Amino acid sequence: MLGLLVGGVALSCVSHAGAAGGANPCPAAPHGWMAATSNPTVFGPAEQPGQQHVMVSCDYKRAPKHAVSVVAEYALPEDLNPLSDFYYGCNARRKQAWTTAGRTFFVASATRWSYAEFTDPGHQLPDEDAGAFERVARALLQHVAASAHSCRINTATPTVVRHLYLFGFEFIFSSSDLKAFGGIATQSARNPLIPAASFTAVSGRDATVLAKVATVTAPVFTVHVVARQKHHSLRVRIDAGIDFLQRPPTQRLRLHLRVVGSDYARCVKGATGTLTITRNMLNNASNAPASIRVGLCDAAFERGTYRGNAIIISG
Amino acid sequence: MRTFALLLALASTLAGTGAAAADPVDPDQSAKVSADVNLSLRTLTPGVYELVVQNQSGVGAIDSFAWVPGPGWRVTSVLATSRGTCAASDGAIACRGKISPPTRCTCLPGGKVTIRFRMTGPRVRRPAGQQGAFVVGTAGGYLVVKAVTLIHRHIPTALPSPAQ
Repeated sequence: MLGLLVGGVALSCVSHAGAAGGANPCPAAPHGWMAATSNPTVFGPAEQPGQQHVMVSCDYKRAPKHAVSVVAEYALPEDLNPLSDFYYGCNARRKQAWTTAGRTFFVASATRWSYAEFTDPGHQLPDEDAGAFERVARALLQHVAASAHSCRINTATPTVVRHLYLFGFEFIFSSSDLKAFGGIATQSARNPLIPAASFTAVSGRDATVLAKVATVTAPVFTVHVVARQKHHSLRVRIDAGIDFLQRPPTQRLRLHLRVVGSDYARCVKGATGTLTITRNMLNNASNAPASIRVGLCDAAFERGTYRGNAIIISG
Repeated sequence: MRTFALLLALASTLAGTGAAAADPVDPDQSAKVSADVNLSLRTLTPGVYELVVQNQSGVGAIDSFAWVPGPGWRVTSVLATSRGTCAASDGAIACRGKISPPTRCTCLPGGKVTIRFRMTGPRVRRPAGQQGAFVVGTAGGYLVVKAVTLIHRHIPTALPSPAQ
């Protein structure tokens, strides 16, 4: 694409890691086989921002030389219309039985945009074990079903498009009696190219530069506070989004904050406030400077100077 | 990926007020293409521009969208639209009206809307010693698709070959 498409990943990164990463969707190995300790191998939006489907691969081995990979792929619920870009699923008749000559097994879900398959052009899977791996493929398809896009596609009424963004930020606040720093990683653990938090934004019918933040997915983060030579820490959660302004070159994201843990008496658990990130949307380096403002705990972080950086990119 | 999303116009080039008077046709009309939306912007007369938005997506019909110009540019009024309704708001354009998807394949044009509007640009001084036409460029504008009506069939990306 010549234009930069901004819109699509992060929800997927986090929420679907649960399906494919949290609980291992790979079925147990058939008798005499061993499941790879690396199972599952997942390739989805966390690996490639913008992608709206996930591939889960489960590898099995049997000494001394047998191996097979059973693969499931599914469209994410965020995929606006899987008919346009995913093709497979929602059709139980679309299948391919294993044959000694064909060496491919394929089964599609009847109720989800998903399928599972294994293929063995190199003859590493003994024919007598093909049936066992058909059962593995069907089980894997079942295990990923909850994460996959349902077959229902609303063609009757307009669908509001949710644009997905990834973000991270950090700030240092300094005043005469207080120093504080914290933030959410601009590089996630699984992929240094992807920030650790995300949000979706929707625009009203007459809106232009201002969108409403519909959902936020972000880890609880720590704000370290040094006051009167004592160290404190706040655990802060992003409760919800407010709005997202994009008036080139300015980008401003506003979010609701809540303190969920604190050993700092001036800012106790349960306190609420706002986070405002303002940055240049044309600079997408992970350490791009940004204006960060934390409105929390009776202006504790108001009168002073901030230094910060932030990234907001399309998913 | 088929993200019906925000299309950043990376390098829209608009004729600045200076030389545009002498050269009303912008030599660089800055067509922008994505898998979902084709976007072109051109100068009609000084201060008056035309934006063409074409649906190139297999997702469905576009029901509403907004176009936001790059830094320093501000849409002041919408003069005409070929379909639906568009209005200037916050220095940008908000449009409603169905733009149909391509019918046979996404390799062929889908529906389109043409918008004529007034826009002011940044004050840019002609570089010292420069002769001839003076064109002011911009980058960083974007188009956001806000609502779509999904289509329940697959629109292929290419037409079948005659042999098929």
